[in-house]
Amino acid sequence: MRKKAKAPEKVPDKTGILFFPAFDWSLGETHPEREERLLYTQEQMFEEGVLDLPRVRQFAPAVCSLNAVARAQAVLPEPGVHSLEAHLIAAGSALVLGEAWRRKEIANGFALVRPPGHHAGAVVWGNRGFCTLNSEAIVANDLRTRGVRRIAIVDTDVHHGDGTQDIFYHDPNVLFISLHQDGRTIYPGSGGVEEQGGPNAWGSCVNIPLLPGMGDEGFLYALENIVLPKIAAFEPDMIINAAGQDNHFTDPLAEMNVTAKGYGKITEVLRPDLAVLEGGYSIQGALPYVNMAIFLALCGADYSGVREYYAPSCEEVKGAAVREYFRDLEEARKQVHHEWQRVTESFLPSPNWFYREVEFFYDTDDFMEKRREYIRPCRDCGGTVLMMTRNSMTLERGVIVRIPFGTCDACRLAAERIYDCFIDEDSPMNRVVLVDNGQ
Amino acid sequence: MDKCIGLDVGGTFTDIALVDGEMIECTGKVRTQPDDILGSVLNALDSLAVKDVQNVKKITVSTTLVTNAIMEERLPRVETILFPGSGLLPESLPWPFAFHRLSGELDFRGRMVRDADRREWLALVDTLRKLDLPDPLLFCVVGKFSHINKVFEENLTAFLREEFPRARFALGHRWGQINFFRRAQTSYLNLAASSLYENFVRGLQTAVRARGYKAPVSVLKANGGVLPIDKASAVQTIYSGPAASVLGALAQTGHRDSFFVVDVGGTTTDIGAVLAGEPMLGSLGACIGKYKTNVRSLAVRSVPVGSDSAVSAAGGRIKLADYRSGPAFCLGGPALTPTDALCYLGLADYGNRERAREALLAALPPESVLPPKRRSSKAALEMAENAALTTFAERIISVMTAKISDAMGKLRRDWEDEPAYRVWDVLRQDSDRPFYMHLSGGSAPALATAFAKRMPLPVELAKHAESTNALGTALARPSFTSTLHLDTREGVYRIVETGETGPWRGRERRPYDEAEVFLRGVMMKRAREMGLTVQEIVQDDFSYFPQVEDNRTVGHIVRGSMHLPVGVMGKLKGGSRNRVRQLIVRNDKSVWREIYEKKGEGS
Repeated sequence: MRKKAKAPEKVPDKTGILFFPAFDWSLGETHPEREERLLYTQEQMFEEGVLDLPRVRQFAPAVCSLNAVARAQAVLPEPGVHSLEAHLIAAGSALVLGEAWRRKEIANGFALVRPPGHHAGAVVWGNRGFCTLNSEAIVANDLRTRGVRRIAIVDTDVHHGDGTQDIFYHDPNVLFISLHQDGRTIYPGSGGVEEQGGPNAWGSCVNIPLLPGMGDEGFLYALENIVLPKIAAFEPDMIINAAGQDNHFTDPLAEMNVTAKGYGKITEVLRPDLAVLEGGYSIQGALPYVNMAIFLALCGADYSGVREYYAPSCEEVKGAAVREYFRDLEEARKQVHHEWQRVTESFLPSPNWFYREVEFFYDTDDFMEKRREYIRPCRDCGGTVLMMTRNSMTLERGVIVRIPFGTCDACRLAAERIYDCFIDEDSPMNRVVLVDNGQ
Repeated sequence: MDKCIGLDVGGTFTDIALVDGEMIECTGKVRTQPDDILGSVLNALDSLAVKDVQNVKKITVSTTLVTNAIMEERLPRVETILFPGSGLLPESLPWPFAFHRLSGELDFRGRMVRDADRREWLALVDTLRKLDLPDPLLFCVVGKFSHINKVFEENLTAFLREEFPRARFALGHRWGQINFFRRAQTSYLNLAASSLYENFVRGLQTAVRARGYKAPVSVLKANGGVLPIDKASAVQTIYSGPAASVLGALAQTGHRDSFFVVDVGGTTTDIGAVLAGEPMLGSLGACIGKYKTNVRSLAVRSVPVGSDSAVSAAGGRIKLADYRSGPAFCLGGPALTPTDALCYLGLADYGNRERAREALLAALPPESVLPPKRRSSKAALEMAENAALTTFAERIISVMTAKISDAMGKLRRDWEDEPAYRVWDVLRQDSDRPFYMHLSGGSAPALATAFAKRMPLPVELAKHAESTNALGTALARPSFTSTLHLDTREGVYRIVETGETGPWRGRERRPYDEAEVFLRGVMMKRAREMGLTVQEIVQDDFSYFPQVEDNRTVGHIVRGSMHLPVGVMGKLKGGSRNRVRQLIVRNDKSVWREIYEKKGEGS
């Protein structure tokens, strides 16, 4: 019998754009996250005619389902008490492009959406750092149910992507890399080199704090010498870029010196399959230009003409200082060793689980989330995770049991037993959530 | 109501209809002479032999004049001069024409980043003088962000006017919509087509007056609205044919219906969509030939397939050409067309069936006739031949309907891909409306069953399938939109559609009601200028963007629009509304018979 020739795989040549500026939504009239934020970006990009570039395909926004959210985040005490509309559209829009990428309709895409999401973590008690739902995490976990296995998320926002880190901290199949201004000088404060992933996923989280004042040179140095080798070693199926734009020299909330062209170069070097807008609050000085540069770079078009209205005014940290800084940083990363605490509890089906405590500050409404995490030691999968969380303001509590992607039978069994144990408990304040990503 | 005449110049026929209120008085049809559109219009007008010309209150024309000139590249040369500033390099975009390029740069708020260079202007004049230039010289001057600040365009025009006093100019800011690339092409096309259009307008007005009509002459625009013919711009009249089809369908359907319009012509089929009684508009401007414009148009598709498309069947593959060799063979034409297939199948009540058979037989691939057994009779041979011909004819129709239904699917997908920029717009979307297909055009009755067989949606035949376009044109309402861009901090307003700008004298903060009242005033003024009586101004949604400095709201940017809605002046009376409900395959498997469900009138 003659073998049927295999059809050549379709190579998409389109760049998708989904522009959702949420022109009727804000966190407050004078809040940085307000209606006006993407207005000038729209003026710039639409006037330039980027939608008429032969490579470009525009997509319509969509509302994300709560099911898709639940694969990444537990919204407590229940989704209905939060006003999620705009966040669901931002995440749903990123999902539209992610799905188009998976189906090979586009080679890459840019979800130019508001509001942002990368500070929203595994548990959502409210809005923090302007974020409620984590678009990148929702896309990643949704696509992982449909054949995409390993995903690298590179966060180039000036703030540490602590929410995304939190969601994937115990997940060895998602590489999370965040480049951000050193947490000792800026919100949210986390993101040191010592945070490298949970006990079953050590090394899957890479934090690259940057010196305030670094610009294109420092950023690209870190990208080429730290980020790209890590990605190459991880061999992801997909790269998602959390494309915050507040490393720009005009940003009012940060002290970095990256230019619009620098952002173009970052995109060109990183070659993400999907870029999602995160922060960036210099709505006139930076966003129109940075968004242009990122998008043109994704399209493979020449972005050398993109030029800010203002010129940089503060001095950039560069040259030997950059190289020395990163050498020391990588040395420090190697030195990190973590001794995990082990515990045995009545509600855990087996002894000696890993244990850690974490806290998150919700700046928008000014309260703390306190959380205890129990992780099943596992060599066969990411390991079942139990999270016991408490909202310090309302004193509401929640229990989340997470079955990982590609779970082993033992972890599934453990998760089900814990869930049964808590669902019987007779406390009205408790919300018990079982997240089953193992199917 | 008053008597109105509608004229639709199509690729094959020019249709005309005289409507009195909601009653059709008479309709007519003459062959279009492609080289003489004005002559075709006047022939049609004369064919109607209207007695009481004084009582006709309105004459509306939809014409392919400008569309054809653009598609056939019969436009004069235009010198295009751009101020592309920085950002996206112009080479990255697929410009359909060459251009001169000058320095000078504005930013997204119209602030000057870099001034123009007068030495470049002098050099440009030297270059131009060396060229072999037509007279009058046509200049199209467009700058990036000129819709916000027209300084470079106006200064350069003043400068060139001194050098070339007889030249004609088109300035980009006159087409005030955002998108430099499309603004330049729209200005270019409008200038290039302007003398052709103006000559047509003059000729038509003179001829109409000479025939005793006192009625004003209007033209149908791409967006389905009409304007006085001398107030419309040439480029606004592109795609008025498909717009006429949509309006014609609107005049024959229910008030809140959602449906696809399919108008099968001789060489092209126009497809449009109506959503809850409102024609769907494309979000980007119309594309025509190699040009992308920012002319607002109804969301329509033209498929180069019609009942007179030339059919070829080389190698057993049926192909419909995107041209017409002449009328159908069964109507005395030169070649095989889908009409012949319809005629042979007994679906059309016109044409010579013997000739249809002859045409089909000539094109039939010989191998598709099953060889009869040896020594079989002549009758058996003919039966085999007939069976093969029937299959062949059915396949021709099926290829045709497939092409049309594919285009419908694409239009629907495009509609689902329409961008939305506000939370509210996303949440209100509902895509579960029951749609049906509204079929019109001369061959529509013959094609209805073939469509009903293929389509997953109900098919409804137009009451006046043959004159739908002329009826739509006759009944079209005047329509235009005014979009306000107001920046209270800068203290300026701009009307996008006209490029009009001026100082804002209202409040700086929270100018909510003021902005709306102001725009209503602009609408009334524009209506007066065009001699239109305003029945209903529809207010679209306004967006207010607080501008913040040092944590304080210092002003508002306002964007909002109002429009006179596109639509028809009334729903036509008479005719019957037919929904093709059921198919019965007759015993000989050759001819389909349909049962029409008569729907009650006035419901």
